[in-house]
Amino acid sequence: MNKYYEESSVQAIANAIRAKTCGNETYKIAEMGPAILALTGYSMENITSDPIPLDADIIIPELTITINTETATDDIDVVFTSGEDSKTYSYELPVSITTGTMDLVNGVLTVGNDTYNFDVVPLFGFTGDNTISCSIGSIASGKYFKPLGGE
Amino acid sequence: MNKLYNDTAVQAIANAIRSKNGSSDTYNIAEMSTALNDISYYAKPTISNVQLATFEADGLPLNSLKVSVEAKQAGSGVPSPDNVRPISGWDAVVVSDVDNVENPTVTQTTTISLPQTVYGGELDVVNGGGSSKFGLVDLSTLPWEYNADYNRFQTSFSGYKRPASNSEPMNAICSCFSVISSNGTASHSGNYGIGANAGSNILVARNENYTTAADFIASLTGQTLCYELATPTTFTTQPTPIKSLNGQNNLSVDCGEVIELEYFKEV
Repeated sequence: MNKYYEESSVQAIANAIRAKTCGNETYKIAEMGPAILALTGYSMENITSDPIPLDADIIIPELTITINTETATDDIDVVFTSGEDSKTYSYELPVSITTGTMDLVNGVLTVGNDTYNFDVVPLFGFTGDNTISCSIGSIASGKYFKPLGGE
Repeated sequence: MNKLYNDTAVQAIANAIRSKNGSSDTYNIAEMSTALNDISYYAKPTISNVQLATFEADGLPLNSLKVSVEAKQAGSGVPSPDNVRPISGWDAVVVSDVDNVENPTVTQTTTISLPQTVYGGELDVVNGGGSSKFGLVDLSTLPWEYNADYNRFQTSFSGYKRPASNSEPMNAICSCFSVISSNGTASHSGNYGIGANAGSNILVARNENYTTAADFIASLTGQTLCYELATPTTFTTQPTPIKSLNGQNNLSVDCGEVIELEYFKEV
C-alpha cells in the first residue's frame, strides 16, 4: 500500500546511507532497508592482555608497549599467539633501554623526556582469539577493529 | 512536499535501523535519517583501479594498498630506429598522499625499495611482496639470423607470453620498433616492426635497412624489448605501513595506478 511521506525525509535517509557506505549510490525506497541491513563495519575496541578476537586481514591500528627490564637492551620482540600459531614482530631500537614505551604503529620510542624513531611494519594477527605479549614488557594500550557483522 | 511511497518499504527501513542499533524505538519518516546517522562505526571502503585515490579518512593505517608497476618509456610517437624510446623499470616506488584542503597543503611520501628492477607487475605495499609480470631483454644479445624468404630477421627466444595467434602482437613495448604481429613482420607493408611467434619460441623483426645479421645486431646495441612473461615471478619487499591523512587524501603512486586501497573511516 502506498502512503504519502515527506520527500525530503526520504532523501535524507538516502544521504545517511551514502554517508555510511562512503559511496554515491542511488536508492529506490524499497532498496533502502536492505541497504541498511547490508551495512558492515567495525567497532574499535581496546587491546588488553586477555585474548582478543582478530581477523587476519584487518590491521591493528594502535599498539603501545611498556618496556621494563633490568638489563638494558635494544632488541624487543612482540608476539601474537593464537592456538598453535604464533608470529613474532622483532624491533631493533636506536638506543638500549631498561624502561620506556614503544608505539608500534607510529614507530616512536619514548624514554623519559626523549623520543626516538624506529622502523615498524604493519601489524596483523591471526583470525580467532589472539594473545599479544612482549618479551620484556607489557601492553600499555592498543586498539583493534571488531567486526559488527551484517546481513 | 509529500509524495506517495510504498509503506512496506518505509517500515522495512525502520526495521533495518532497529536491527542495526539494537533498539525497539519507533520512528516517523523524519526521524529515520537521524537515527541512522547516530549509528557510529568504522567503515572499510575499498577504492579500485584509479590513478588518484581521493577519499576522506581519520588518520588510521591503510588496511591494504596494492599498486601496479608499469614500465616507463621515454619520448613519444611510434618507436623506430629513428625515434628511439628507451625503456626503464623501477628499483623503488614512491607513494604520495596529499591533503590539499589543509592550508598549507600536507604531503606525505613513502618510498618502498624493490629487490630487483621491475618492468611491470604488482606491488602489495602494506603486506609486502609483489609479482613481476614483464621482462626486459637487450635485443643485441640475441642470435638473430636473416630470413631472405620473408625479408626479416628471427631469433630463438623463450620466456615470453605467446600471442594467441600469429596475426596478433605480443604484449610488449620496444625501444626501437613498433610491436606488431608475427605475420606483420613478413608482410611488406612497413619498414620496421617486431613480433613473436605464437607457436614456437621465436622473435621476428623487420628492418629493411639491413640484410645481414651482423649489421642488424650492431644496429640493436642498447635497444630493448619489454615483454610479458609466460610465467610471472614473485618477489618480497618489506611490509610498509601507510597511514591515511586525517582529512582529505589524494593518494597516488609514481609507478602506476592504485589497484586496491582499503581505509578506515568512522561513519
